[in-house]
Amino acid sequence: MPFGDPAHVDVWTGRGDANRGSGENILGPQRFWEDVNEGDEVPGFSHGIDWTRIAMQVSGSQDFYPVHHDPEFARAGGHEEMFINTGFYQANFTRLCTSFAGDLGWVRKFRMEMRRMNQLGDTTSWKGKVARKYVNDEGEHAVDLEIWAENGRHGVTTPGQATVILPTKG
Amino acid sequence: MATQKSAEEILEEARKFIGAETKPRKARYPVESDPIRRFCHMTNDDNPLYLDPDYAAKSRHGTITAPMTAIGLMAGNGIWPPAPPDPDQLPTTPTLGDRAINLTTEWEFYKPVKVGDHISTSQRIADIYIKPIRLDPKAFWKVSENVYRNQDGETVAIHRNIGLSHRPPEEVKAEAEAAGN
Repeated sequence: MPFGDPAHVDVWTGRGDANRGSGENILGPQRFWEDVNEGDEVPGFSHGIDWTRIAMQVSGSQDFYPVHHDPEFARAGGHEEMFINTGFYQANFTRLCTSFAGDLGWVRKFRMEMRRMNQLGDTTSWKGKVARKYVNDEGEHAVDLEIWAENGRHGVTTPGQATVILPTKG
Repeated sequence: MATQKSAEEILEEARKFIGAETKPRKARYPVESDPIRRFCHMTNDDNPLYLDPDYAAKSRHGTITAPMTAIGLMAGNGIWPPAPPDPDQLPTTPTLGDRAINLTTEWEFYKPVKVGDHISTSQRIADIYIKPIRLDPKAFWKVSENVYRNQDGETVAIHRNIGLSHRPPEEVKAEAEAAGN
C-alpha cells in the first residue's frame, strides 16, 4: 500500500482485489477543475454485502440497530432481509466523492435518498458522473456530481448529488 | 407496541416538539484516529489523509482528518457505556410504531474535522408528519437537523435527516382487523 507516496496522492478508489471491492485500480494525480468535463465518469467501486461486510458496517458506523445485522429482527419488521445502514451508504459516498476531490479538493455538499434496500447477498456499486461544471457565486471552481448506489436486483437504489470544489491550475 | 391513542392524537403530541432545539452538546471524546480507521475499514477507503499520520502531517490540514460523513460518529457519545441523561437533549418524540427506517440525508461541509478536535452538536426538529409506506399506512416521518461545531465554536457541518418510524406487520394487521377491513 503506497501510503505516503507523493506520486499517488488522491484517487484511492476501486482496488481490484477481493478485499477492496471489485472496481478498477485507479491511482491518479490530483484532479484539477480545468481537466474535468461534464459527463465524465466518477471512478466507482463495489462491495459484496456478505456477513463480513455486515460486521465491518457495524464496526465502522457503530450503528447497532438490529435491523442492520439481525435477519430475524429485520424479517419480523416486515423486511425481506437485514439491510445496510445509513452510515455505510454515507461512508461509501464519502469515499467516492473525496477520492474524486483529491487532497486539494473539498466536498461542499452531499445528499442521498435511500429508496430501495441493499441487503445480504447483494453486490452494491457506488458510481457517479459529472453533471455540471461552473464557477459559483463565491468564485470557487465547482463541480456537481450525480452519484448513486445500485445493485443487481433493483438497479439504482440510492440516488444522490454532491458538490465538489476543485483546485485550479492557475 | 400497541397503543390506546390514535395516530392523530400521537401526531398532535409529537408536533409540539417541532422547532425544539438543544444547546450544543459536547461529544464524550475528542476526535481520535482509531474510530476513523474503523470507519475507513468499513468501505476499504485507504485514503492516507485519514489513515497515515506522516502523510497527513504534510497535507494542507497538518494532521489526520475525519472522512466527511464520519462527523456524526465523532460528535456522539457512542453506544457504550450508556451516557447519563442529558437534560438538554431533545426528547424522543412519540410515534405509533417502534421500528425505524432512515431515508434521506443532506450534508453541508464547511471546515475539516481534525484529530484532537472536540465536536459539539445542537439538534433541532424541523417537521413531523404522517405519510403511508408499504409497511404501514400510518408511518411517522421526522425531519431533523444537526449543527456540528468544533471547540472554537466554528460550524464544521450541518446535517439534515428525514427518517420514519413504522409498526411491525402484526400491529398493522391487527388494526385493520379491528376496523373490520
